[in-house]
Amino acid sequence: MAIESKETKRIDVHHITRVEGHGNIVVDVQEGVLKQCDLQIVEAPRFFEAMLRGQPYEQASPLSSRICGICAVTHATTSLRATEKALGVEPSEQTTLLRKLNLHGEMLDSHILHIYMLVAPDLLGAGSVIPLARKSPEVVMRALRMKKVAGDLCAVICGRHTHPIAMAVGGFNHFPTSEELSKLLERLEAMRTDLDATVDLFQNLQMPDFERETEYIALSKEDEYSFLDGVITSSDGGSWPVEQYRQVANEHMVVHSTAKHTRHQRPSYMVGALARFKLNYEQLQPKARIAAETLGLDPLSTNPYMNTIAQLVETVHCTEEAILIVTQLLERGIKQEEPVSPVRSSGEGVGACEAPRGTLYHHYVIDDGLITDANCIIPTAQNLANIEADMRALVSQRIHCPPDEITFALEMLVRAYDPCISCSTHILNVRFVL
Amino acid sequence: MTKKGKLALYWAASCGGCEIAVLGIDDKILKVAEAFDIVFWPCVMDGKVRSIEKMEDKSIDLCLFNGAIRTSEQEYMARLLRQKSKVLVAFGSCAHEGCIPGLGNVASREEIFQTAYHDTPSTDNPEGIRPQPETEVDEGILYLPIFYDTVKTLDQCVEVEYYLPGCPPEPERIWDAIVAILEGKLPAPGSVIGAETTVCDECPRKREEKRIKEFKRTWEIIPDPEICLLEQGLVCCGIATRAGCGALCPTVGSPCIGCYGPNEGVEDFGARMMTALASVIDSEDPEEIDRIIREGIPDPIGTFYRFSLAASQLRRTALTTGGEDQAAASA
Repeated sequence: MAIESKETKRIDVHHITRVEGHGNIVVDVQEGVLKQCDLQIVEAPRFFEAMLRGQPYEQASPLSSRICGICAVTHATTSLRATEKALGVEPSEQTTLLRKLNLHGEMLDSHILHIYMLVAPDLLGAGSVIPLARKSPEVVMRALRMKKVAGDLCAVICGRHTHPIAMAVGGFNHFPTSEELSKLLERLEAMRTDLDATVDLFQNLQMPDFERETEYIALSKEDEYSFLDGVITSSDGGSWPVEQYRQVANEHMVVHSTAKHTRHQRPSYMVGALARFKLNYEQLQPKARIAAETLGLDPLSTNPYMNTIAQLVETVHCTEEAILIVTQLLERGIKQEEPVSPVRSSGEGVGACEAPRGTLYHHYVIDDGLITDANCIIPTAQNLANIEADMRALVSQRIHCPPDEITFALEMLVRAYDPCISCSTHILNVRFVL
Repeated sequence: MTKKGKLALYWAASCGGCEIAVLGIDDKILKVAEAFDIVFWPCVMDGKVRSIEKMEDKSIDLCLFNGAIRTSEQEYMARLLRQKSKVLVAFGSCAHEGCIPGLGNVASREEIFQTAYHDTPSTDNPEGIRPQPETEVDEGILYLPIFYDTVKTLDQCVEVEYYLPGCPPEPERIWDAIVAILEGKLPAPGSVIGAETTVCDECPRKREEKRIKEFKRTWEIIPDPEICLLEQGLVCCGIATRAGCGALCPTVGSPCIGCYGPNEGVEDFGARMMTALASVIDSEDPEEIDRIIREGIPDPIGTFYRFSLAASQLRRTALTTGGEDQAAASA
């Protein structure tokens, strides 16, 4: 896809590596003026919305988990919440606790993967995690150790690490034993040492200097740092029940792109760890707030590169929350509950969760037990317009730097958003300047 | 090995779960990095398509390719990596048999675009804008990959030496396959690397005689934890599915949905499942049999071809609009 160019400066990266999916960057600078700066997504659209039509409702969760193998638990859970709301199912307190714990496991797994395997090589001057393993084996071994705890947590709660199998509409098909939970608790507590070492490591690493204020959107609750349910909240003010997601996530088509772009009041907004951190700072576990302070992240930050640091703060938070939930489950004792049955077989519902990369919505219409309409709004699709706005601001600031430096800064910027391009079923956005 | 082999990993139309499963082999991934020069793995490492294009043919020793083929760009990557690789493995259910993305074959490109770009409630598209493979603008021409009507498996595009099944393949099986490859202990080309038995053979549940008066939907019963799920009326696909996962789903009370694909010797997963279910229905009356199937299995394609539609003998539903692999959209 490279194009010969007589222009002063042209950067064409095919593909951006160390992101989940396929994306290209095109920058075109002519005589010192930025003409074009785009993030092209060439990922295959798979169009799950069309596929879900006609499926029995109990299949929506296992099918839609295949939207993404990295945030499969969040997709499966959000799907269940949409179905439950459509069919009038109110899950038990135990189900909610197990689901939150499961989401924490996936958040840890995904964040650790991103922080260590995809971002750390940039900051530690290694091309990728494989040379990093030769250079600093203890760093990579620590990452793999923590990742294993997170993956095993998911396997204990939902039966398998990637693509959950024990979750159902209204509850669970399978429950962890108290031995499994006790073992998990020990391992989560032991993980604090590795987390401290991670905070120490990142405390001494310098993120690129770049600020651009934008609108930040996340789910919020009064009494907890919200991952499961909540109300949609904006840094520009205002909050909406998840049923009104269309007030916020307005998808629109543009002529040159198969990407559906999303906007609220401004041309773009940001979702993900930094948005959650900014909006829900007060609800963070105390240890996570201390980590934020150590890492130099405060709720006023508008540097998108700090999204990775916000992920690290959330990693501390989720570990502490997971410890609290496991302790609570052990105290309560696990009950072999039957899933709550639907009270009707037709209805409409919206589920929303915070996926590792931001707010995820599933919206289903169910008629006589079969899905007749489905809509999924994916975090990376919501971030796409904001990533491009950041890229343009960044290139404008650094327009006199050598192309290699700009390329590196841009790839790092895209990576900081941890874009899950495989998730965003239909963001294809290609603009070429000839 | 005196000289390190070259390894490439790639993904096409997939969810990323296969990459997570590869990382799921934990610290053994470092042994893989010791045994091979990893020349291409865009998810995890730097390395661009251009550098692969410049390599000599057959200079990559092993390529693990996951994901189905939905667009012209993915077909290009499949052909490129085929040309450059000695051994090409269809890795995971999408590359092997189309998996969930292959269920897109129940609709045409036109129907899919209509749903995604027009009908979904949050999409605001009054002018009916559709993505175009080529669009002229002031600055030049914009290109998009061509979106095919039909999802293809990897071996429907290029020749494949081996298949590694599963959605995703279990990390233990991935490691087994890597060891087999390193030790040169591989089956005949064209084989699936894996077990030759079924999920039933790995399942801890008790099996007796299967006689079924009605199929139950999963929410209709709380299954007995000890007894075969199919005997309890749940459509469990273990009977037709290749072993390898350790019967994870039935072990946690969920019926097998067939992600490991058909077991050895079975050509068409759905046909095998339908034969198996037909033999357990406890009725001689055609009308009653019809009712049992209609009420218990509301979505036959999703039930019998959830992972294998693209690889099945049917491959897709009849196309009423558009032509196979023509230039995308518009019309």
